[in-house]
Amino acid sequence: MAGNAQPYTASRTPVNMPPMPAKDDAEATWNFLQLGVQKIMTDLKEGMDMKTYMGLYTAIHNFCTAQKAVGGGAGGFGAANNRGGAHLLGEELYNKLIDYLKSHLAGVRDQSKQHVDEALLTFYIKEWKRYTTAGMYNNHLFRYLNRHWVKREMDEGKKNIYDIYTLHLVRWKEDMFGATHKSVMDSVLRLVEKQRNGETIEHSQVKAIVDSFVSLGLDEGDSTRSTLDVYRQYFETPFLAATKKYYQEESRSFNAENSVVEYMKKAEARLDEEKERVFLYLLAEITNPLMKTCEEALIKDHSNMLRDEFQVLLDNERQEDLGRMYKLLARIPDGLDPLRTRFEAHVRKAGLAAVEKVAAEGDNLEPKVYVEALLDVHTQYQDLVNKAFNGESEFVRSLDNACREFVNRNKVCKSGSTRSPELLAKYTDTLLKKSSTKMTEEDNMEKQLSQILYKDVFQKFYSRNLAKRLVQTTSASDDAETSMISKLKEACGFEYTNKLQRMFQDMQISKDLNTAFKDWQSENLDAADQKNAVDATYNILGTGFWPLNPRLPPSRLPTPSANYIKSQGKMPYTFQVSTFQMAILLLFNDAETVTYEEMEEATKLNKENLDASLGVFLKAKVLNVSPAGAKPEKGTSYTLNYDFKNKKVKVNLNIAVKSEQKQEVEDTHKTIEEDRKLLMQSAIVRIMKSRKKMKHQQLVGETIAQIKSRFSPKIPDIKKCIDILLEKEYLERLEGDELGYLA
Amino acid sequence: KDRHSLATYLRLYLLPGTQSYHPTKTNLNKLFDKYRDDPRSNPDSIGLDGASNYFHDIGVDLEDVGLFIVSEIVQSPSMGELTREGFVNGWSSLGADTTASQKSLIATRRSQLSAPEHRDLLRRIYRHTFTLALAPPARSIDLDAALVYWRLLFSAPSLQWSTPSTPWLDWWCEFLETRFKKAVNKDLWDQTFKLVEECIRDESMSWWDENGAWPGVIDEFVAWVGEKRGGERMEE
Repeated sequence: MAGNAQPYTASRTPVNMPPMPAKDDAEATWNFLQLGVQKIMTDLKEGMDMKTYMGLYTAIHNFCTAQKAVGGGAGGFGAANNRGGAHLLGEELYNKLIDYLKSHLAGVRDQSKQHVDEALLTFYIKEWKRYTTAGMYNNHLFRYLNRHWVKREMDEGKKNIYDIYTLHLVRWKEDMFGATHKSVMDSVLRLVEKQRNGETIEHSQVKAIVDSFVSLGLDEGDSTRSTLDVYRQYFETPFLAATKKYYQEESRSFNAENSVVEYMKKAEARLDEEKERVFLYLLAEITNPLMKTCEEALIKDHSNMLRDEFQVLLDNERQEDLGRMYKLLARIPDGLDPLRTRFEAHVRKAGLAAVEKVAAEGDNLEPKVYVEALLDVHTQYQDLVNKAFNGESEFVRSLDNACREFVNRNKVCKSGSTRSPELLAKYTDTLLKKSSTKMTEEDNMEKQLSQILYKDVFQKFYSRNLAKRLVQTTSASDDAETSMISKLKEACGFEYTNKLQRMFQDMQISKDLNTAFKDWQSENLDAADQKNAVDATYNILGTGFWPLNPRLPPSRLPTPSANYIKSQGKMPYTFQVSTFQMAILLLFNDAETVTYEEMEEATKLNKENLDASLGVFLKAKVLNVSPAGAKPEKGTSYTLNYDFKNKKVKVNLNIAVKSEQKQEVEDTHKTIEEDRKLLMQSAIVRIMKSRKKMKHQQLVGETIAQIKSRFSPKIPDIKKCIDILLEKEYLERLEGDELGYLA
Repeated sequence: KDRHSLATYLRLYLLPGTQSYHPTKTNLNKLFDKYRDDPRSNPDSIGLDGASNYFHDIGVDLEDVGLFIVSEIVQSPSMGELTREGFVNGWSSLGADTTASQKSLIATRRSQLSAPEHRDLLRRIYRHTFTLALAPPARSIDLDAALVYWRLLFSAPSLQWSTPSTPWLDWWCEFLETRFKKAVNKDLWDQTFKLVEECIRDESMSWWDENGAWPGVIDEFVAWVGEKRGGERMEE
């Protein structure tokens, strides 16, 4: 043997190493190598000296290059032959190594059978580490083989040939993993279950197992790359299955003994725990499937139970628990839809109940009471949406839907669908009028306004009230009015407030004109004339913008010859009166007692207006009637009450009588109806003008789309408008439900 | 001869291209002339009196659907008014230039009114009836008049608007008299014919759809019928 030894290694070969084998003897070469490989595999911590290592390396090198020389001596034909020879020799070593690894792993596998649970994991991890470390060393040692024989084989596309390190992994997978992964995984799962049950476990073991499984994911097409296939199949899948089973069982037994609220807390805690678990020792890739599995077992499987509890929580106003439920159900697909439906129904019911409570007042219902009842419900549930439901837009929409429903269709509105905007506008009026207490409430108004379906109704009433506030100077502050207008503009658009703004402009112009007129008077009138001049203020208002019905003055206004108010000789009162009332009062400048007939004659007022105005005077005790207590009619006479007293110096007598108010409301509603008809008709004509021909149904749809920002038109109403336009011959019927436009 | 009839004579018989000589038309013109009320100032039209005589001669009762048949043929512009042009053209296209032949033709049509294959004939007569009844500048006809016409047009010998379970015509009249109470415009008139056809085709009213193009009144009628049926069923 010594004669075969290479001169530069033989003399220093350590005692336990045999001499260098003959370079063309495969058997001998392997026997020589095996000693080294064995040492690397089983006894690496003892170390290997450089000489031994170099000897092994050289033996491989010699073996792989030996055939070349032989082949060259055998004759000069065919490079392919030479290469074929080199193949054979490389292959022999490669196969010997495979045999070695197989038998090594068979031993490890046998030993593993003696262990279970954590001991098995410890063993598996220890063997894995030792084996893979050895694999790296061997890879280095065999690098000549890697670089030439292995590379060439792989280049030629030969299957199942790997570099030496990968070969180690392949063998492990075949000879070790295949037979043990199941018991290893069972141990892992038992360990995790222990932890889920509250015990402390050695995280690192699971982590090491995960890593080792991942390492075995070899890409068949490209051995330099790895995939997660092995990990997915042998770790993730059973892990998820066990998780599912665990939580299914746990939630079943937990639910049997605990309340739904308790269960939600438990589920919440479990979900947090599982997330933490990923971070501690699992692969980040498992997060999504793991959470999905948990969500299914913990939430989806119990979603009906949770949803049933939703109503209970709503009824008891358990905000925190509602929030918990929201967060849980938000995790599963379509989890919240049923909640939204129930929430909407609940809010609607609450709103209707609130209205029901105040509706007992009947026609005398105070706008304030009504609006506050509505606002309270809205505020309460908006708060809930913000705090418990994360202010989620879908819930906001459900809230809006519910509010829209109960604001527009409730007990109070049943008599006429437009009662809501009417009351709302009245309420706004009281807010903006002088001497109102709280100004801040108007902030809530816009919320409410956006719920109102019939914005056109609100607009009508609002503008009417605004006109009165401006004309009667009962508006509390210009700022408040302006800010309300800008809010309306925000909620309903520029068109909506255009006319309202024109009213303010008129007021401003009138104010300037009055000042100018007063200046002119003081410059041009002498003192006596000034004294006799009526102290008057004039408003010049554009008919188109003001929703006031200009009252035709009576045919005759008595000439204001002297000042009635001053004639009282006491602290002068200022009366705010209508034109009609002024006509009556001025009569008393010439006489202290005026008969009903005289008034009729002098003012030419019709009975209705005369009686109404007199009624106000009598009630305010400005006039006395004789005989006392008589109704205004022929044969009665009226005297100025010189004992008139009032707390205020400025007395507003221009107040609408109840019946008048009612009439006004009716008129307003009537105007609204008319306006709507015109609006719908003009929309229809506009659409048809541009389309010329259109299907009936389409036309109805388009009309609704165009108008719905102002109010929600009803289909029968639209049809009536179409009928009218057909009759007026703006439209004609064509074949097949189609309508045509007639220019 | 006065100038007017001369002009008519020229127009009808002598002007080339427009009208060629036509023995039927000559006969019809002669027939027309016979019934004129006021040949001097109104040479080309027959007024109420003349029309009554004419209808009598061709066996048409004034309270019978036959009146509408003949009115449609001669395209009379209003009830009891006939124009020469309509008279001559209408009858000549049917080749009937004697009262006897016209009488038999009307009888034939009367018998065709209820037949499904002659639905177009009924539709033409129906539509023309509105023109007949309308007194411009009004755009609609009084409900009372409309009801009379419907009763003539939709009962025997014409098409009967009723089905085994539903006396549609009676209900329609009742509904309009008690609920609708307005004049009938052309659209409603025309759409009523469609309604009649649908009701006869399917008395369960499955053809109705709230999004359909029916006039609002008909929608209301359908709802009214539904209620009425529901109510009656409850009584049973």
